[in-house]
Amino acid sequence: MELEHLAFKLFIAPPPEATVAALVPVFHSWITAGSAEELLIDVADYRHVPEGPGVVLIGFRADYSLDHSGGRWGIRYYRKAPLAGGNLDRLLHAARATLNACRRLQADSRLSGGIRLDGHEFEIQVCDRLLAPNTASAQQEFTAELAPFLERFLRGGPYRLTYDNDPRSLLATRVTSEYIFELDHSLS
Amino acid sequence: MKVSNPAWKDRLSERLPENLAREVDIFEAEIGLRKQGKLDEKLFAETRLRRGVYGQRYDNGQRSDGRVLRRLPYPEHPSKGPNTLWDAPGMQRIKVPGGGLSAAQLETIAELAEEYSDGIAHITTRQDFQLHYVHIENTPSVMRRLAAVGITTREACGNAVRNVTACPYAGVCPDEAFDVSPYATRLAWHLMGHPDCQDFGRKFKPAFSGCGNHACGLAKIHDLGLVAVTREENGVLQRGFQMYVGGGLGPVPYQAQLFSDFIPVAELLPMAQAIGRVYARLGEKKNRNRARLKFLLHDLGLEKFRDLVFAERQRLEPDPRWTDYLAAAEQNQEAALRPAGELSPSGSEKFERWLRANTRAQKQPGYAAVTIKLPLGDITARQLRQLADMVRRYTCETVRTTVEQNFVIRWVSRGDLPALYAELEAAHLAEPGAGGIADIVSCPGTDTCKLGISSSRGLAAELRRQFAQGALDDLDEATRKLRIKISGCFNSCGQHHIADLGFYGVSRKAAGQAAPHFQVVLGGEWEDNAGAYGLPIAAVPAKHIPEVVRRLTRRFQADRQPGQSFRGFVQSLGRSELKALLEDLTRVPAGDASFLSDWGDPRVYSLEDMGVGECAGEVISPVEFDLAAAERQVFEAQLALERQQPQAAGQMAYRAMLQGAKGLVKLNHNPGDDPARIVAEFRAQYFDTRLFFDPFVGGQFAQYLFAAHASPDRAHDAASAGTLIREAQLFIDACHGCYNRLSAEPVEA
Repeated sequence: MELEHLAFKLFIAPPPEATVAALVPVFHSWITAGSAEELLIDVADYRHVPEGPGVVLIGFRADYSLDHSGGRWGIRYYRKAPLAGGNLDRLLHAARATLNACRRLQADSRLSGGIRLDGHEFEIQVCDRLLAPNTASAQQEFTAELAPFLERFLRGGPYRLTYDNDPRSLLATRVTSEYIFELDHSLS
Repeated sequence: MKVSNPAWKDRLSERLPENLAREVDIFEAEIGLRKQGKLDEKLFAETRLRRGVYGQRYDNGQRSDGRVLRRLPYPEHPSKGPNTLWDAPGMQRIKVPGGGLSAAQLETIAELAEEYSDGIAHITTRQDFQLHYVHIENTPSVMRRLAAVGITTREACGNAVRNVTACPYAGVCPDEAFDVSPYATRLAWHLMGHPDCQDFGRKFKPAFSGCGNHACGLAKIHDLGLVAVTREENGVLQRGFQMYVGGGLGPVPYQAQLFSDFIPVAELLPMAQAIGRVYARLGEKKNRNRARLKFLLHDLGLEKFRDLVFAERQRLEPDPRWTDYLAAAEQNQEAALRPAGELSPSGSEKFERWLRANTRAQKQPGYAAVTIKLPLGDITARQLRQLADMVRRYTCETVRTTVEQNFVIRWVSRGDLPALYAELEAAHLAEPGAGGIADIVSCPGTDTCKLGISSSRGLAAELRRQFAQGALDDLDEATRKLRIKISGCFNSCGQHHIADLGFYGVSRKAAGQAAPHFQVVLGGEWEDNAGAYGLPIAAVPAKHIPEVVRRLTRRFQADRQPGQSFRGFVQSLGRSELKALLEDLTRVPAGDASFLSDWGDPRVYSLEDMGVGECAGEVISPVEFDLAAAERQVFEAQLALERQQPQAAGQMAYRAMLQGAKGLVKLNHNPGDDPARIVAEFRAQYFDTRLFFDPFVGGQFAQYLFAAHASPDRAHDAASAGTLIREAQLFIDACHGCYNRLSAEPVEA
């Protein structure tokens, strides 16, 4: 299984409405600063859509968002362009990018401390149904591919994977762990 | 861009209708040619527009941060159109004739939104879908996946026949003359790619309505508006259409004119073709601002236009497709999945509110049509799947998009309404107030459109927010039924001219700085198929528009006469008084910097992000399309040779030459597809006359065609196929040269 076009979502506590609104200028300032790794282009504001993509910072190779899909808030990184290396490299890249974004948002005073990491749960999606259909066998394979990454991300701690079994959905798993991961996670 | 792109073609090869598969293959080859610099950028722009692949804001590689214009450093590639960078994300428009969709089609659009876009599918004011932020190299996969469920993007944009819209209640409306759905569907597929509709100077929009008095079809704002009517002849009830022509919104709206009060259904397709021919022949091509049919009609006058169309009709060769569907159309009847039912009182005020505004009784007793009100026309992929489940569970997949950017589920047994409501509510799709003041229509505006001047979606979202927070609470029923429609610029994609309260984006200076404004347009008529247009009153700063809405609605509520429409109220009040009512709001408050930013966009407002619109596309002659197709076939022949398929390569090279020759012959008339006829006419018109002759090599390149045509089925090895490919390329180059010589402006002495 080739894990391209990964989305990594770190769940956060439900942010106050003011924080979500304040994210729009924050994301605009990221484009202006040009400091993210990716070429950033635009901000798509979907706050009017219930349980939708939230506020999305559109990039050329990847998007960042304060995502509310599935009714859970989280900081999401979606890698659109292919990445070099193997599956572990790609997972590590996505996790690092998400952690970096989360760290940056938490530190931004304009968001008034409204971004609070859950620390126990996150979600990994493969946004390509041809590479990774949401079937039982693909879920098994995905579980195996994730193991080395989760070993590092969760420092060897136990975890539980939960899948949505609707075959129409993207292949995605929610990872739950007793281990509380921190934003300064080195992923080394 | 997507790793899986090459694999989709193989995966879906068995599932694609041949014509749609070929369409996508051609476009994919054109992408390849453009990347190699072998296809002119203007030609490529028009060809991608005709596949619904549209540009988006910032695709010129520049973006204002409110202070300075910054370059977006995309990788270097050939452009995908004039001033349009290859890697800049774009919009994919998806045509949905009459708005009709199956559950599988909803699910496919959901998949595409998740994998290629930002998770949102957007419904337009012409019943299309749009996906934003799509990379051009992903579009062939998008198109193949759509084609696998019977959807095409062909001619969704560009100078072509756009989506054929139709009343979403067709077939279930108690007031209709008959169900227009099968006629709309047939017209859509008949005109798609039709030779009579390939040489337009601009777009051409048809619409169907089942009756004259409701708004649902908006027949009078279209280039071709068709309203169902019947008449009795010799005791037999005949179906036909009132045919309206030359309507259109845009900066200056034109009401369509009644071309005929009865066109029999058997004449629908030939008359549409005849109109297409007249428009193609006489419509403006150079000045895009005067290229819509409405201007031609204005210049010619209705009588002359009508004479030309009828004369053209007489010249058409009969086509069995004009009538082969009529018997089935007459019998057409969607089925219900569940038995008709009745509704018991629920005791829930919430449910009753939804029931009043979001459902309407069908003409079939015991059934209802249910409107799903979408916020700004947006729906998530997950919601689309939930909707697919619902339409499977309660209906025979009878769901349609609407021009108010909503869905209508038809054929819901009234007994099922509480259960359906519960499921819609769980999916966040049960917002009440469909068709009312909070069901705001908005074009994409500055969010994604290159032409956007003000943030139509930002304003719509803000009005929705204020309404949700109680701004509607003191309004009576009649006032809550007013309609608000917003366009980001004067081009009217948000249909502001036909709203009670319409707004379109303009820019004004305040204390030397640009500030986003909206022109207030009041009293447009939605009913009577968009029977009248609104009155522009004043330009108001964007941040004052919620107050404009508040004042106007309260005044309407307080001062209207019993039963008076908003249009009537506006007319009775008069422009001066309306202007006076809003006068203080037309000024930007001194020192308030918030007025220098738009709704939902914190940047200091500027017009620097505006680009050149692609709405009109490039005017490309049909010859250029044929020559481009010939180029692509040579390219495909080279690929076949690389795959070590010399026989196929040789035959493709021959066909490429035929295509080029056909293009030149078509300058006089269409020779059809018979190779012998194409070659004979090419010889007579271009070789014997020496028009084709190159100044240096004379007629040598034409001889390549003649030789290939003399033995079209000969066996090829790699060498002979390679030679023929080179000859084909030279022949096509010579075709270009010939066309350029013929089309060059004469030089005055």
